[in-house]
Amino acid sequence: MDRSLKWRTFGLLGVIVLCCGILSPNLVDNPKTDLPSWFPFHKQINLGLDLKGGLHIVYSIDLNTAIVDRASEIERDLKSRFNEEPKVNATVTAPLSPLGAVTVIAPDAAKKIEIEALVRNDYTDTIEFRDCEPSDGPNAVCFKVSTTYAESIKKSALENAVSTIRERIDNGGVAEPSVVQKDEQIIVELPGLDKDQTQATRDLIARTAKLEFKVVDDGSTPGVAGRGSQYMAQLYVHVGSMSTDEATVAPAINGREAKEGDPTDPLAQQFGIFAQTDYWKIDDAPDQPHSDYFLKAYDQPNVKLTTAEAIKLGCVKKTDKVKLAAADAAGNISCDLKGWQVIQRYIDQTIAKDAKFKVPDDHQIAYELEEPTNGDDLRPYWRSYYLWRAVRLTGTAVTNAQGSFEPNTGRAVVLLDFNRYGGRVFGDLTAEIIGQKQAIILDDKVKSAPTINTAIRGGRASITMGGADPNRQLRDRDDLVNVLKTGSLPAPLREESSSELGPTLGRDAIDKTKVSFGIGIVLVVLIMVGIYRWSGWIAVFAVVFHNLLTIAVMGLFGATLTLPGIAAIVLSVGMTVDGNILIYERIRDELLLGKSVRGAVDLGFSRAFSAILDGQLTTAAAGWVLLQYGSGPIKGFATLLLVGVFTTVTTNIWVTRILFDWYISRKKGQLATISI
Amino acid sequence: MSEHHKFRYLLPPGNNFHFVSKFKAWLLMSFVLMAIAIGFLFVNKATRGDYMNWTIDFKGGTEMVFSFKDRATGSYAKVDPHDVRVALEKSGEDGIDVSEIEYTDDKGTPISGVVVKTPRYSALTEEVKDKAHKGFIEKFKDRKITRATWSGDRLNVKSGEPISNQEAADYLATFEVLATTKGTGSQTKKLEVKPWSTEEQGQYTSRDEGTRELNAWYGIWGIDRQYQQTMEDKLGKEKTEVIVVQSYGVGARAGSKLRDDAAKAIIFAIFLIMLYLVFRFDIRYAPGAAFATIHDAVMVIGVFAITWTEVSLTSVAGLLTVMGFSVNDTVIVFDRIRENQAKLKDKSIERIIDISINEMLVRTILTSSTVFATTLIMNIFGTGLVQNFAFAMNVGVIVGTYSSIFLATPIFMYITKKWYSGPAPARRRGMVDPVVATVPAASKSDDADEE
Repeated sequence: MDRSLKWRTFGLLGVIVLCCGILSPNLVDNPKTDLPSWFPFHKQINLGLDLKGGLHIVYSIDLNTAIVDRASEIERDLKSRFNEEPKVNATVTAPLSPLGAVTVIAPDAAKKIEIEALVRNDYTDTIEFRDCEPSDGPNAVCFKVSTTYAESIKKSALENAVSTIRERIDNGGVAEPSVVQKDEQIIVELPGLDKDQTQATRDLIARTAKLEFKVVDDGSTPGVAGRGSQYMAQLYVHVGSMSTDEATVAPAINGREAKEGDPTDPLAQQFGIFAQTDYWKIDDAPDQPHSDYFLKAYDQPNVKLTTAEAIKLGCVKKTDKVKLAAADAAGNISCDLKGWQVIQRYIDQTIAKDAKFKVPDDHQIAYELEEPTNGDDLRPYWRSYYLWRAVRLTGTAVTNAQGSFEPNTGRAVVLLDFNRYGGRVFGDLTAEIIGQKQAIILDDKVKSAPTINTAIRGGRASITMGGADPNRQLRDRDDLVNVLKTGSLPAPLREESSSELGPTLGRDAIDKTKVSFGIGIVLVVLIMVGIYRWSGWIAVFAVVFHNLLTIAVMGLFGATLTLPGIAAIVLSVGMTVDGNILIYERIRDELLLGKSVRGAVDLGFSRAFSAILDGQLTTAAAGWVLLQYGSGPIKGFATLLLVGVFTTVTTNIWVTRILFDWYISRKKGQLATISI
Repeated sequence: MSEHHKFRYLLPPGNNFHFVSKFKAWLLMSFVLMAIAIGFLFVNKATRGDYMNWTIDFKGGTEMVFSFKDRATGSYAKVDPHDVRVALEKSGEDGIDVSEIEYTDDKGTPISGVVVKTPRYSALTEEVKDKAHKGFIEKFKDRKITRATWSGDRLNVKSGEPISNQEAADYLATFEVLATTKGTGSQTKKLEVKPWSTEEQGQYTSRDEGTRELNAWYGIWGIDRQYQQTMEDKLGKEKTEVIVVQSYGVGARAGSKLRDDAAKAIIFAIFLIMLYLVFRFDIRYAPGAAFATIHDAVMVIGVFAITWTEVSLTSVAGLLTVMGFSVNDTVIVFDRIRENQAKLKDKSIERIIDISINEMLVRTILTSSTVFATTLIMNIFGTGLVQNFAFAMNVGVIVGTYSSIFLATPIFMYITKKWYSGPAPARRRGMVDPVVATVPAASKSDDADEE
């Protein structure tokens, strides 16, 4: 036997062992525990919804939010209009009830008629007039988003939500989910991924991705750097980390952190709330330092809450009867609270005791998760920000988002491109608040609050990822880019229920398919062995090897096997058989022409080669296009088709050849004929 | 020497069929068949209401969750989804999907039921819906109805004055509805309004705060009730109680994006295949291959339309497979023609093509029949989606093989004869020396590899 054949045989055996190794985790139920830890392969093949089933999650979407949004848009619009010259002294509000209502209170009867005409003219189809409440006075103009328009808003919001979710899951790399709408709900079916992956996908789906830019109120007035807002100062004193005297003196300590002790307020002590001060200054104005007060708290596990409070803080759902039933005799439920929930609970209870701590209507408190990267205490905590409630810019102004790194710190950042309007607004905003902090709020949490050093013109902004773990930073960044690119959901999603779904194909159908696959293989054996005798068995082996290799390669890529994928495998098995037939027919031709057996085999392979290669390359070209432009099942088909092209060529040209070389080299000397 | 080789022949060697001489007839026939296929889409649209038998994947429908209780013990029972599918299919339901679902009830007890998906939106025919709708507005004129619309099996009414559930029920009961879709077609039943529970009553009746208008939903017993009764009949009424857990209309799974993506991808794929053929072969080969592929796709779509077979996302995968098979088959025949063109320079193009096809005939038949046999088995033994895919493949293998031989190559021949006179020069790299190939006796090259 020649040496090259020996090496090729070793190679083939190696590949077979490797494939079996890759596939072996599928033979046990739980590869992580059932296989020894030294074993290199622990991943099972992912099966799609149709073959294995998965999670069936029902989301409800509060479409009324979309209508309220529209009303506040009208409110903003009218306000800015009344602010233009000539100024109109009217107040515009968007009351919460009825849905989508706007009320304008004009200064006198003449103006009322004017405003009525203006509203009727400008919002013809989108609004309808309603009766005013008596408390609004005689000069009020009352209207609301019209029923027909509200319905069209709802409809498009729902469609938008469905396509956004679909795109997000697709971009997240989950194969062939199912997303359908049902009345005012959305049903998502995810294939049976592992726990982490499922959770990650769920998080991705449920993210509203509402991006807002607001300004932190540190008490700054034009030209004067802020020393903390009135509201936060009194809260700071109330928590009492230091005496009132110290508290008023502290901001004067330039650029150095004051040593704040433990709180004196009993409630703050009980909740674990700390009041602290934040200092910063910008290079252009080093003599104008800013400072601001904030509250901080750590996450707290197992806090006993009353049922009402637990529902309010979002710890249990109103509908979750199982958890609600778990309350103890006093009606208390044990909750794991995040730091921001702790702070919110503290402020709520403080307000209940003393109304002066009520947050003014034009302000709000928002929270950010801080993860210190240096210092003695590396525990993550939540801090508060006292913000102006006004939304200065929203995510709708973002045209593109991309992931990058901050050049100095190496932290992951997301770069945002604004549209022209957004760029202008952002430029004006930053010019207005130089030296102050601007809060970037994502889904009601402060993502970061950078200090504005100079006016940022040019329509770009960046969001820096927090967190100490670089891998998590990267993942956060990519998720954020995904949700910003696919756009925000028109309204928050709420998970209503989730259930385990069996294979959508039906277990019985899968069993029958397996049986028919078996019969199909027997038929291939009968045809090939019937016509080509011993060489037929080589073809059978080739098909078996082809399937083994295809599934192993697929497992390596982590692709998900679905019915369309199996369709592609059936096609590539057909092409493998076809390749063998091409080779055999060529060998027969050459034998008939009187060639020796070895010569005929050599020529057979070399002549069939071009046909096999051209056929496979055309298939590959088509598969590549389908992969680029297709989505869902088409993508699944294309992936397996491309893998199939690779394995078909390998099988026909390499494996079949090795087997033939073995076959003709088993006897020394001249072979008269072979069984083909 | 050749008498040493005892091959088993599928066809005796030396076959010499004339394939291309009647190509105009083949071409004409194909055009006629394609026209019929496309025409049938419109026939379907006119007679059955839609171009093809879209499943829930494409047009949405109703999703229902059923659970089962053992009447004897009163506890939840598990029913094989296979039995449910068979029961519903026997009653004449088309395009349904049945799968298991595991969920927990309010108390946290795990229950296993089945999800049934059907492309039907309502148990009512358009006619009944229309009549009931008009009659309803007429009947309750005095209640200031501003809008009344059907949504699936539910009537949504907006009115100034209330219409009680009982009033609606009494009125709707004057209409009749088919009890099942097929089979026992003559059986009719009174339209029955579903009574709402107190909780549902609040959920389905609301007053608009602005306009003070009442918004009410009246649900009739629809598909869910039909299916429930079918299942109880087939599974044994006295043994198993079938409970409708949920029933709701759903939108299409394959949105317009998927459809556009698919169309775009297929068109681009055909272009890229043509481009590949232009570079690897030459420009004369490209139109034939493209036409053959399009022909096969149209024929498969046509057969689906004529037989009113369900079209699901899996059928799309089937269509792609057929196209892949067809292109592969065509390219392999082309490869032989290209080779023979270089070898047999003195022969006319018709002869070259005939010789090439004859040489490839055994391989073509063998490959096609292998694939056909395997997919036929899947068609016979498989169910639902698998059967659907196999059916597409069965049709596809036949038209794919036909189109490679009778369409792709004649078109190539026609182009060659029209724009290139005489046999074209060989363009293949590493061209086979014609002397070696045609006069084997003079060949010595085969000894080179022997030891």
